[in-house]
Amino acid sequence: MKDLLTNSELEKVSKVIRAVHHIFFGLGIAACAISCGCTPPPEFKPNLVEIKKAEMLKLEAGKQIPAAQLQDLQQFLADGFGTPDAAKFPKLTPDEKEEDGLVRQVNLQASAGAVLSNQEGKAQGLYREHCVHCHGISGDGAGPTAMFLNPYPRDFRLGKFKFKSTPLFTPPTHEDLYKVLYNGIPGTAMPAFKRLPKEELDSLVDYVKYLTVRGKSERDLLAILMEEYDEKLDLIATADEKKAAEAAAEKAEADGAEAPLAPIFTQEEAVAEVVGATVEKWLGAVDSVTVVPASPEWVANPSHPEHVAKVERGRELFRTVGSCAQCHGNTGLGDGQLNDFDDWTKDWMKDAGILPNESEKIRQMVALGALPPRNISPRNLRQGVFRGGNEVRDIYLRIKNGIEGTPMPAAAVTLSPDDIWCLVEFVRQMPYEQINRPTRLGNKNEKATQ
Amino acid sequence: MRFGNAILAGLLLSTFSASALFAEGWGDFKGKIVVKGTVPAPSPIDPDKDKQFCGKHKLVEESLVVGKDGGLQNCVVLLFRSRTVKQEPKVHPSYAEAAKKNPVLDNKGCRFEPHVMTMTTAQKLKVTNSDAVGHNANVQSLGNPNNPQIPPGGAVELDMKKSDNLPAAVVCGAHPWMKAVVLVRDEPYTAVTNANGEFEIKNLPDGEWIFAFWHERGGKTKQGGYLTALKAGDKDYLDKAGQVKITVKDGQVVDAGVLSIESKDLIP
Repeated sequence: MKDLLTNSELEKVSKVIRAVHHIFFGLGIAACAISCGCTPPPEFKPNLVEIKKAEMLKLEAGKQIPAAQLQDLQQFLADGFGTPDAAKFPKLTPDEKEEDGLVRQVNLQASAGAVLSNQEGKAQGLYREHCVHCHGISGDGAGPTAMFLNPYPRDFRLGKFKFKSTPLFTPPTHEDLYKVLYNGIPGTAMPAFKRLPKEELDSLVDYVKYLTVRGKSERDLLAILMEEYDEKLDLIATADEKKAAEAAAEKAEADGAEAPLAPIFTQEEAVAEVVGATVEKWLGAVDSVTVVPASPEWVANPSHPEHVAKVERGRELFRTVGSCAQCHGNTGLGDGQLNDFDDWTKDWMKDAGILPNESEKIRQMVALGALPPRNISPRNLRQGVFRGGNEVRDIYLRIKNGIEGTPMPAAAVTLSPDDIWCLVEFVRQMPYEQINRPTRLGNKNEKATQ
Repeated sequence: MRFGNAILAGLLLSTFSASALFAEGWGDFKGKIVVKGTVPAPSPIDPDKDKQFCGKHKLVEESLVVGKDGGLQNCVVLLFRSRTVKQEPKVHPSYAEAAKKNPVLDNKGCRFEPHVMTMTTAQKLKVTNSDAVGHNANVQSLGNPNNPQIPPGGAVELDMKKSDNLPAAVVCGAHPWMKAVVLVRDEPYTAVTNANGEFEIKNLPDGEWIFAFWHERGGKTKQGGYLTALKAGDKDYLDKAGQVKITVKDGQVVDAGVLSIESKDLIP
């Protein structure tokens, strides 16, 4: 007992400790202030996985793309899209007006940069405040928390999005992305941001589009570089350099000598062709929205006299023409098929020629930033959790259009709108069937015991 | 899409104009590709989905199909095309009839038939399902992606309006071993080698054309790519990039003869 300090002694010691802490804290702050910021500003990460994949697909084993070419690519992206602190969006043509463009600069400014607010009601750095920890500074879906989430956060750079009102292989509209931010994605770690004001949500949607176009342009430029690859090839050059090189090539051809390689693009050409191709698709998305027909009276109306028959028709379609049971399982538990991957995984596995059992190659890719591959399972429809939204309109769209990035295909053309509504109602009531006696659907060609 | 249609319309118009027809010359390009060395027998596929139905058919891996005398089947002979190399040949009027028919890709016995095919942007791809189980056709064409479900006994016609530089895979999501290869081009000057490894492309406009040979076991990975090691006798038939420039003259046949490739040069 003698070893313990008395109360008054304890007080004295804690005062000293606190004082020392304050001094060092103060010194630390001062040091930070003097050195103008302890941490360097964040930078966009080059898409190392895509670079490695390009090397594996096109170059001799062990060869790498020279740093100069990769530096060219990053410089182009920096010149066109800025940095995480100073975001900008390239103009496709010199006289392009902002209202005709894909994003608004004021939205990018509000989402980019460090988190701060110097005016009541106005916040900046929205992306870093709400999104970066999962989606990453480059929108690669590999932020610090990503590894611990199932499903992984979205990698924007492929330009594929699951839950939208447009058909497969068409970008989402602004409203589609807004809705995902507003409602979140139930059953995943994506929260609902409906408490944010509309301006902030619009700002974040524009920033997502910005990261998507930037990331997709990086991939597309890399693909063009690799298409007719030469390690002396210049990806981007000034207009003068390109003209001079082309003139030299013509002269060499006339002389019968070996022509020096001309750069592929000037900055303007790369923006117009590569960035422009993606932006055109995004601007056109709103013209491709799938029109969901007005739902019949019996939809979401269990007391309607036709309801039971329609649900039974949905059950029939589920296991026959709709071919849903094939993947979702005879009882809708999602146990029909278990070993496929989503497109974001297949992009660096299957498309790079890496098999699921080649663990060394997978390890290499994970070290470069890919997330450890996980199988994608068909949805367990008995849980009543619909990631894309549980309104009847949402489920209609999932069935009609399929889900981009997943093995879920678009519904057979032979299914009429009424058929799809039957499937919607059947799917919606599945969670309410008794689970201990799940209905034996039975694929027509399988034995009931399977 | 509009651009491609305009090109095709322009080409067809120009071929139908009398003066163009008589002023043009047309020739053929043909050859035969064989594989030298031992070729492993195709490995069997154990279907793990819809086993009751798909297990009835003896399915094998089809990326390397070699005939009795070494003929390499399913090699796509195509005009090399990239961002910088365009090659837009005039189309001979004999192709006009074929352009009106829609080629069929059938899901039969849990495999795609044919395994490799080519088509033009003037045609629609009719995907049919002759099986009693559902399939979907995930068309991974860069210009014409699509992924419709096709119920048993059903069919769907897909617009394929954009010309692709390279052949694309078509896979079934429900039965992942199922794979087909489709090449969509504006021009009909493509061919797929038959069971004997033979190909023939008729009525190319006279002039110089750069051809390449694509195969599922070409390139550097299992994704497929250009064959680069084709030999005519002892000499390399292709340049480093896997291309050959042929000169087509009116009324003549460019006969590449028998082109051989060592089995070790194909991706295992």
